Amino acid sequence: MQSADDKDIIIASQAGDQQAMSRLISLHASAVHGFILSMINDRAAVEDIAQETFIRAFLAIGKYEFRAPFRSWLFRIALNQCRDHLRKVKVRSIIHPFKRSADDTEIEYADPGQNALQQLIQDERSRALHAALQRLPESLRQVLVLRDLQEYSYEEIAALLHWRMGTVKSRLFRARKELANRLKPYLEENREKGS
Amino acid sequence: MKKAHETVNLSAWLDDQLSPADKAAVEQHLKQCRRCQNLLADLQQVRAMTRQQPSYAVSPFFASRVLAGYRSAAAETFWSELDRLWRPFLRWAAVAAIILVALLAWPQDDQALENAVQVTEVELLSGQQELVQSLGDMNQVLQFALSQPSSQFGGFSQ
Repeated sequence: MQSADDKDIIIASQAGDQQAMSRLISLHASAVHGFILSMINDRAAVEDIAQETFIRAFLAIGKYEFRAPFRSWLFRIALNQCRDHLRKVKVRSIIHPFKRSADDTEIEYADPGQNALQQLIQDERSRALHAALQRLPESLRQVLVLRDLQEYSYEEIAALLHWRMGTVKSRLFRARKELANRLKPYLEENREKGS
Repeated sequence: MKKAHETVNLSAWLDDQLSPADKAAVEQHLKQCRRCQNLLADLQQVRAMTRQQPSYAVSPFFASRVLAGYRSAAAETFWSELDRLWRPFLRWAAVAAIILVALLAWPQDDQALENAVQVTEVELLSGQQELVQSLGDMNQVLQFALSQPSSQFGGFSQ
């Protein structure tokens, strides 16, 4: 749930206060971008989808009734935008089958405090992780991104995706297991370092 | 006898999301199952790897772009909403305008119609009188011309 401050910012945004909207953007933009990137793995499209997500959220913010956390409400809009995007990409890939893959795009993160080699390793692992995430079925990807990237509780995931708790547990297990299989070389590398 | 693998619960065990009974069952099973121990290690590593992802760098212009897009979308929504509300009334407004023009053009009552007829009659009468007057004048001119000697009018004669 959000704090009283968050609530005040949301109420001001509902009244059309654009400074409050700007504050909401700075509070949630990074999480929304990260969520979208994990869902679509297409760096070039992330900002456009995030922008559209916020615009739609502000146009509909009067309907937000504080029943769920604001971020969940925002992520639901982002999820719908990602689905629309993936549907368009699917249609485009049928029309242009040889177009460049989204996996080739660069990924930019906020942490500049790393040396070049560490950065390279991190980028490589991030790229592998995002590529592996992208190959998961949508329902498994959603639950894994929400739990492990966005740190949602099981209850919040169940509420956001309208699933039962048992479904959240079993899908999260399947998602992690599937991801472990796809990232086997990286996990073994880590194990060797650890031993 | 060895219990069935508790695989599905391993992930929830990692997140501490099991009831005390389920948790105890998983822990008991893990003590004796190498396969589940390995699987748990993999799940732990995947979770750590995913959670180590640094936060996404958002463009410093992102907020201003969103707000500009919002203002434009809000204005568009306002006009399209107005258009949507107004459109059903357009047909009725056209019908009402035609009826209004017809009512304004039509004589208001019988008196006005009678007045209009009288005005027309007076005009017709005065036109008739002017015509009679003109004919009388022409007759006088003709009589005068006939009374004059023929040489004065270039050989005109009856």
